[in-house]
Amino acid sequence: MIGGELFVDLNLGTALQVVMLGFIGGTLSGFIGSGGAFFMTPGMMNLGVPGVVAVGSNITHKFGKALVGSKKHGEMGNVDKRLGLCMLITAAIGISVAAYLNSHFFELTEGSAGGDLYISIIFVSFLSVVSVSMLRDVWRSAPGQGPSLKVAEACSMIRLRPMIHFRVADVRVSLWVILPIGLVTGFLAGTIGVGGFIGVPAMIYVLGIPTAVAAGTELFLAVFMGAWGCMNYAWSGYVDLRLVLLLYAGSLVGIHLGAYGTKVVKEVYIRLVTGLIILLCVLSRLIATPEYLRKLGLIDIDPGLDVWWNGISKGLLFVSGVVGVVVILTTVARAYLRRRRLRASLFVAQN
Amino acid sequence: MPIITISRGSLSRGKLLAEALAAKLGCECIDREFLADAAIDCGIAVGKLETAMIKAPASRRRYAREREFYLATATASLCEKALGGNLVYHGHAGHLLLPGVSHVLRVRVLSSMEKRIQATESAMRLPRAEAIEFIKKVDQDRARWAEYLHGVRWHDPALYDIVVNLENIPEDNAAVALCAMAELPAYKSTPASRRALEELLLASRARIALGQDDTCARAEVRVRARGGIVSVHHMPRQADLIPHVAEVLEGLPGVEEVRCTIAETNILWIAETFNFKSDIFSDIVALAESWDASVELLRFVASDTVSSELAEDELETDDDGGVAETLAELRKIERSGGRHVVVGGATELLHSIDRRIKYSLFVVGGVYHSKPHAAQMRLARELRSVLGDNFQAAVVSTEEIKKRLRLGGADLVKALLRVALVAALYLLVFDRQEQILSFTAPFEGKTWPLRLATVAAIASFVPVLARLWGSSAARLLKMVGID
Repeated sequence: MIGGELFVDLNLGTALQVVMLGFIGGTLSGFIGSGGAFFMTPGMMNLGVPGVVAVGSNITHKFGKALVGSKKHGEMGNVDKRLGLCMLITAAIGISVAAYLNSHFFELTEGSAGGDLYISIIFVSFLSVVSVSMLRDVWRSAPGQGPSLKVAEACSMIRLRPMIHFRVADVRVSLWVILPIGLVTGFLAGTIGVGGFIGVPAMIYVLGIPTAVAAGTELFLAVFMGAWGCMNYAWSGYVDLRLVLLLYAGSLVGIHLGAYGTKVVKEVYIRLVTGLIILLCVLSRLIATPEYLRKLGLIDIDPGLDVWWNGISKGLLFVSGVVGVVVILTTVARAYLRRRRLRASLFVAQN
Repeated sequence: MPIITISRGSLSRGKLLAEALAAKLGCECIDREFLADAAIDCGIAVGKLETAMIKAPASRRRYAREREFYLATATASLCEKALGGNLVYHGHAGHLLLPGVSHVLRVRVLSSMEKRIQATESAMRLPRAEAIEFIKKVDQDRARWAEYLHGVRWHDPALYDIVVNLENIPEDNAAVALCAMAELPAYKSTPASRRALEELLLASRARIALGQDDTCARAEVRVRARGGIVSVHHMPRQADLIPHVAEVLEGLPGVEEVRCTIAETNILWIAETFNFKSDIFSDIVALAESWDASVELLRFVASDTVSSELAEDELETDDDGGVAETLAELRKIERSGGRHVVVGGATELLHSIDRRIKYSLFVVGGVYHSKPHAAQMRLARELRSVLGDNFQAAVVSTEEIKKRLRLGGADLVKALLRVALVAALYLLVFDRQEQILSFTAPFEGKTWPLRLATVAAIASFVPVLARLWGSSAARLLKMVGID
């Protein structure tokens, strides 16, 4: 260990595993606009990295990754900066509220079980609604049809001033509809570290923002959240620069592949993959809750099962990430080969 | 002996030359009026057509089929006369009615402006200024007519075998010279050139027959004849006319067999505005020729409020986004697959595309002009995606058509330099990892300036590295076509 007990010794095998974690996280992030953190943080912890360093390094990595991702999405016309900045106002408040509540629940009980349970409940209750709604919408929508805009249409009836026209997303929404979304996104980002999982669906279904713009704008928002987190953790000294670099080696390739995927696969497919990954994450967290309940004395089960709850939960998380990336890359590869053939025929014809 | 066609301006003594030449050759001399009369006999309102073409070019597309019909009647009349023996024709660019016939001597006659003015003054009893005005106007009208009918610049000397300036030579002297030229072996009628004339006549008669049939009158077809076999090449969207076409042509004298061929495929070009002078037009035409495809134009005007596919008559507006001109160019090269206009959103666009037509490629470019640039890019991409989801055909942007090479040598060097720089930074961090981690790690007594320095170092290094490696990865992926 370097730096006391904080920084792990890295050999080639460990380094390659971190690169792979970065690649998977980056691909998910590029494709669905969020989802890297849920995979990379526990992944690094499994390699022996202390939790706080895993979180600090990951959030620092997120800062740069979001910067590159939002630039890439921006070039494709997917970033509505005005919308991102409007959401940022209340997202900052949401993060502060979340930080206060987290520390309150940690202090309320002995050990981390109270806080962990609180986080798991928030995670499961919010994201299960989101994932089931998304999958139901995908299931019900006709081929080629976009996401259901019933909620967005209802929200568009709210004409409280100021009404803001978002030029890139091409929607006109009251600021009073946006502020709560920013607040919830910030709150969830501060509580469970995956604000994008609520921010992206909220932008799609509540504001009626096109899926690609929601993903791009979320990445733009993540630049500021990542920068703030990076500075906080760097101040405390919990950033392992080596891990950040190794994550980048994989994630910045993955994010381009993921973003390319949004251009070549059907829009409904993006929603389907996002919904399934979120659902698997919810299941993973749900499986981990018996351990917290036992520790708090709310249920009476064998402590020897803790290792199983923990193992299955982590396993499911990894399976969801790996399967998600394999599915995304397979689809992207097929679409890529189709376009290559087309381009080749265009090239031959033009010569 | 050849067919001699004389192209002339008004009162430039071309008529006198033609008559002198016909007298020397002992053959018939016909003029434009003869062709116009034949067209009128077939029911074409030639005067109206001429006026529309010359005075109101904007309405040309409305007369596109009349134009085809007129060309067919004019060609048929000229071919009938030419097959009857020697012939001198004077008028507009008549030789363009006889493509592929080698024994045509194409003559362009010039006269000085001064002599034309004098002739006009005396023939029409006009004052000088009005005579000048009259000549200019007639020349201009004739140029427009030739341009409309044949798509050529009437004055281009490359269209003629010889240009005769009558300023210093009398008509009969010029006629002697042209007679001598007509005796040259190159202008002798051969079995092959005579057959070409017969085939042109048969094709024209077939086209006239189709034009006079109620069902087939509005069809956009290309008719060719080889021997007694008449080939009718039609657009995929007019496939239901085929039984009628065969029925109409089977009774026509000289027709042994009717073959209806369909354009191999269609390329659907979707845009808000079209420009036939653009590079993308040339690229799409090259593709169409390579694939034996016709190019269909779909003008897509994105609108949230109006949603409809405009009917044929409603397309006649002053601002048609260059559709008419582009279509006219496509017609000239026989690649026109028709056009339509859709006002509305992606759903209206989808409904307007005929699924019976075999499309091989959709080219999308220049849509959503009223939106900001970023929204334009996104909406165009989404439109391509919707089309890709709903049709089997490949969907590409105009940029993809333009992109012959994705990456230049300079880009490659830049990408490699960036990768080298990133590798050097990685080496530096991993080589000095102990010192770096000692600096960033928390330790007892770490002062706030040191903490601030840690924050500044990480917060500035990380985005720079991410940007460098991110753009390098993007360039490397672009090299393999992922962009």
